[in-house]
Amino acid sequence: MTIIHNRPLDDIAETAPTIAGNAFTRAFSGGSLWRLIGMLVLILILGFLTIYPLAMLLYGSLHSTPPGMAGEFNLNGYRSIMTTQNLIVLANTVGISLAKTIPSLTIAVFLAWIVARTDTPFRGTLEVLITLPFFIPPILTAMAWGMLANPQVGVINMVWRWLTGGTDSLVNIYSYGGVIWHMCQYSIPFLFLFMVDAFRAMDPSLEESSRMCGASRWTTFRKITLLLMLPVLTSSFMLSFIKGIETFESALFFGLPAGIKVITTDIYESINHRATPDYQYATSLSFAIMGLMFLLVIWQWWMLRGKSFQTVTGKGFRPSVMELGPWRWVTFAFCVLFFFITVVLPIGQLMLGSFFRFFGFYTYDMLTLEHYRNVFANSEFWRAVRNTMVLGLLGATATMALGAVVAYISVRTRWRGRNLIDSMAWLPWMMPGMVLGVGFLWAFAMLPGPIPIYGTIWALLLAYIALGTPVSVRVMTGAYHQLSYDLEECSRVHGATWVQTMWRIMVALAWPAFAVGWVLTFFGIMRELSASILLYSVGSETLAVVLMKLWANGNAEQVSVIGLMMMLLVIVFRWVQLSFIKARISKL
Amino acid sequence: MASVTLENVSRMYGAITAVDNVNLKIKSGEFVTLLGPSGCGKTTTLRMVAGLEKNTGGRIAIGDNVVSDSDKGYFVPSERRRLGMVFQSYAIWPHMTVFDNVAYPLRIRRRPDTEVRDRVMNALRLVEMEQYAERPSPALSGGQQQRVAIARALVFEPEVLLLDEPLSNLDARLRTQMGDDFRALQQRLKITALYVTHDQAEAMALSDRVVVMHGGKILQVGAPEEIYRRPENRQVAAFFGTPNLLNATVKDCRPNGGQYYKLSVEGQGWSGDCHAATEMPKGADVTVMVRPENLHVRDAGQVNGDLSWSGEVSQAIFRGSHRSIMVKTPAQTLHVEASSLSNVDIGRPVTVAAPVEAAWAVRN
Amino acid sequence: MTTNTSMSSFIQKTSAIQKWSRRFFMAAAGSLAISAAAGLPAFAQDAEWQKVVEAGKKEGKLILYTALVGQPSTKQIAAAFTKEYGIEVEILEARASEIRERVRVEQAAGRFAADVMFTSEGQTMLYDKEDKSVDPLPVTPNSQKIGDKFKLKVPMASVMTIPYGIMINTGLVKPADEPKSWKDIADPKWQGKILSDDPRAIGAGYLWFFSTYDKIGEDYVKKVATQKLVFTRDQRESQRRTARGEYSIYMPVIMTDFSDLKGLPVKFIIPEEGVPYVLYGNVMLKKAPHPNAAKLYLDFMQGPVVQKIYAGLGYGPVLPGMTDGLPADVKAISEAKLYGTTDTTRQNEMLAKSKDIFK
Repeated sequence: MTIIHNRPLDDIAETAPTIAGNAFTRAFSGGSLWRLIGMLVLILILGFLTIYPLAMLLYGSLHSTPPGMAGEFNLNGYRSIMTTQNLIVLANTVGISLAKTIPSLTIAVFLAWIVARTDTPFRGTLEVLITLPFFIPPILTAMAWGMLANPQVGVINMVWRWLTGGTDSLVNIYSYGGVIWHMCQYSIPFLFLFMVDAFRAMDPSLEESSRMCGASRWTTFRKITLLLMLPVLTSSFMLSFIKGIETFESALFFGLPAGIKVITTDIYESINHRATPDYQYATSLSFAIMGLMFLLVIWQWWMLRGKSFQTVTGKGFRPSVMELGPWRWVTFAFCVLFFFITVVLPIGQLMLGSFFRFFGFYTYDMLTLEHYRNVFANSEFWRAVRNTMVLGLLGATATMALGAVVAYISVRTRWRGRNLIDSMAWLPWMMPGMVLGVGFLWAFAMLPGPIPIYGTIWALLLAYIALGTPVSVRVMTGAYHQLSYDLEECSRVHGATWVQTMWRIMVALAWPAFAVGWVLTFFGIMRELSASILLYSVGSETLAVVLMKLWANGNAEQVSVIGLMMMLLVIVFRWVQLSFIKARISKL
Repeated sequence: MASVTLENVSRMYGAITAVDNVNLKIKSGEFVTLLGPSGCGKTTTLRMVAGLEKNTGGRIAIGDNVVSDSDKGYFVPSERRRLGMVFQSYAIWPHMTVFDNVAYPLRIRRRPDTEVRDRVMNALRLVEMEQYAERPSPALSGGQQQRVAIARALVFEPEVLLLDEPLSNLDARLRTQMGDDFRALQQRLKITALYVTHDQAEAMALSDRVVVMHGGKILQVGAPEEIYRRPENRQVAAFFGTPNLLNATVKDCRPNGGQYYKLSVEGQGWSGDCHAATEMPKGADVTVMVRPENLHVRDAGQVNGDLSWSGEVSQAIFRGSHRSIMVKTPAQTLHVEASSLSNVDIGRPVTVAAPVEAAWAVRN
Repeated sequence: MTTNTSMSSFIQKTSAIQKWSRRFFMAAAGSLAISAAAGLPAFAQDAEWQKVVEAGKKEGKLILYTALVGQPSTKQIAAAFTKEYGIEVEILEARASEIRERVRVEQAAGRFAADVMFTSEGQTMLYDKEDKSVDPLPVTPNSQKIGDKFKLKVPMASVMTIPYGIMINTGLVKPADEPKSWKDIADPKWQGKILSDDPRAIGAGYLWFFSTYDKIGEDYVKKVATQKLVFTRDQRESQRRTARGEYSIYMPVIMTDFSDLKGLPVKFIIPEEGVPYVLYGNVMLKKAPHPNAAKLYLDFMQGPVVQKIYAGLGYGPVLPGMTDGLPADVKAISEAKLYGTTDTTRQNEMLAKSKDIFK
């Protein structure tokens, strides 16, 4: 054999290459030290935002008294949750959450497909309109649905009786169905927003090639479209399912009168409606639920392991839509129907009600603009608007930036610790809001005195970032899964640093998802009450706190006025965002 | 333009060795192609030069600067290596126009706008894409995207241009044309280019030198013609086309006066002379390579001093530009590429002959 | 005053309070001036108190936490206090359990941020016994003058009572059928027609359960339990639901809300037995940063200015003689016979009982 592959080429030594650069770049040239430092900083940030408050809660669950009080460590909390009754409540909760997540996901997928991949008329407008209910405080839509669908004098039932001449009622919102329906009002728009850009960012050739291989439209949708969407779909499912388990307003409002109990009402009761708040019970129960939910995260890792979901490749594609022919009017009708039922009916009630002295009493002499006047004349409201805007803008931006970095590392690098930060970012989502709020209170208040967080606006900002991180990470993870590595590597090779590449390529390409995540986070902050009420200080009231005060004092009409204004803000945001995207797409 | 040096470069993925102790020196202005089947380590080698992968052994230098030295733990990230690269998928950023795509390397380096404008337009002119500057990039055809990718790689005059199967996504005709265009451009600009492909024809046509890789190792480095005509071993020989490889035993070996040795060999039912790169002892087993296009079919018994085999035609396939003829001989079935005009009847006894220069022996 | 006519909207009511408070503020200030000038021994430690006033003014600020969420009167009173003493009041509102946890954690972490907490008698017991987060009550001029039954063992300076009664939908209940007493609620004709605040959790429903269980007896409560009550936990929304005709009766209702609902087909009924009530008052929080201002505020809340404001809204004042001159409907509610309230020490036992009866 004369194979000579290992022969050093004669000319290799002809010039002696030398290590260039100064000592500093040499020391860090491998990037591994920087990477290590960056990773540590990230773990510290996430640790402070998620692990630290949860650790306080864990202490609360293992200690007979909450932090700061004398007591002893015991397992009484965990012992006390092990009851048959809790098992039934848990089964009930999981059942309700599944019953809302599955139809919500189905409808949201269908709507996302209609809006992003078909030529359904007015889909641009529909895209903004069908998401509106998500941005209204749940208490308001609950009230509206209470008025529409109570069995005695609900508008829908009155119309039904008038039509049929009978005395039966068609719907009863105070039931399992009502609880689920009200939850769907939030989960469908949320899931839709979460997924629509993933659908939009898909190369049609991936679908077309399946059609060429002889697969029917339906098979293609099932085997290609949905499978490529797997990261987004599984994330959606988990976000929605977990949120469903933690949903509180719907169950309290519609479930309680019907005797429906869920985990969160139990937790709520243990804190708010017992002789002394039983934080040990509340936190133990929350941790037990959290443990169960973490299994879901592991399931998702297992599902996505070793697969590629890159649909945005460097080859470029023409985002084309499917021409449905006459069927587009069917999809259009579906969207309109959805819009009518989930938006026009409840929000119409709120809008109408805001011009009358009392909701539901629509007579001429009750007509008034007083609620608007009162809201606009309320200095506390304006102060809260200012605070909330600052917190929302800062918070949403910071949350999305953090989410983008975490998602990037967990999806697109092989760095050690990437799974750790990914799961850390899940944690706040798995803790019911009212318990996590207490966790933030304990965590921030117990910081050493010189760290000025508690009692300042920073406490709110940090809590909001922690609360928003799960969604921001999920949104960005879904987006990054779709981008091919070439696009990024190409930027690096052509001279862009990691940060420049992140900003100019990764964020720019994931911009639609980033923007949607931003809006979701922004309005999440706007609505957040559980943590806000425990962390706000005099002068730093947020809108949610003001809304709570107004609601507690029976000013439901003023709450609606504010709710409608929030909705208006959403429309403006979404319009700006979508027209920006459109401006880009129209060039294609 | 700069040279590229790889010294004992290796890349391990866990226990798997993707690139095994590769040594290579690419001279300034040279066009070198890494050629091999998929999984041979060629792309990994390219990515290590690009800094997209870290070599686990050895060192890499671009020009006079070491960019990666695994022993010293030294590694210059991609963006500081001053490279241009064309990706297999082109990696055209869909959110930018053609102009923005090409301008990217300059803008990243904060060049003034006027300079950016001039150089981008120059680069686009090189690839004849200047009229598409303001187009959104996803709206381009494959060939156009490829040109944009090349323009982007060239725009800031990189030290080295790296190309990862840039033509594989194009149709056959366009591929040849783009290849020729690119070679002309490279020679005009005197760019150092490292090119990865699995297509031998492409490698032959474009390169100054070809590096044949297999299983993470370099099998042979040389000018296209040298590799084609004088492979160093059976694997390299087999990689190009479908050569006839005949087993034989060395009868005699003598220097040829030039670089090579002249051998007398004997196979099953045939014997004759051929060339080899090294001296071989008598009685050694060798493989004799004869390319189909160098074989001639003659009437039975016609021999005139060259290598020859007797047999009968077993198959003949018309291929337009030529005709593939299979001749069954006692040694093995020989593949002959004959003129498409020659008509051969199946079953006819023939003699297949080749000139001595066309037969090349390598050791088994 | 014209509160008894068409003045039902919130804004008008607010202006009414302003008028009221201004009038009584003047009166109070006047009498204070007279007593000071005459040098009467109205308060044995007059000079001592004067020192507190001076020190409080010097502190210039008061941090008030309140568990009574969203009440416009809170700001009204704070403004009057500022006018009286020139001390700024900063208010932090949150629901009872939330604000209690905030105070507890703040104190545990060594952050003594708040001076005064406005909360209920029951909560005060928790602050005192469980959290140990309150200081003993100071003796102030007005603390001597309040009704004896409002002088408590727990360290809370009583301010007012919130009365609870029955609300009916006048469209669904004929005047002849109107329930007159708590006992009438047990009438089988109301089966399935009563919306009730949930008696199984701390709140208004539990208050009703506690007082009627004690005063009328277990049989009565059990009888009501067979009425197929529909439970809610949202006071204000439930009032609206009843007004819209979902149910004939809502109970127990916060009687002082009557003025907010003027114009709706509802009637607020003071039960013959009396109104179960929640007593609200102020506690001094431990290591208050502005202790003298806090003392002044405690005193001020028990004085005629604030007592008149609360009486004018229908709350039960703790200072006698504050309801004179009020419109008849407000006066009736403000003066309603107090029926009973909850006892924090028996809470676990009674909650369990309620859960057992109202499954």
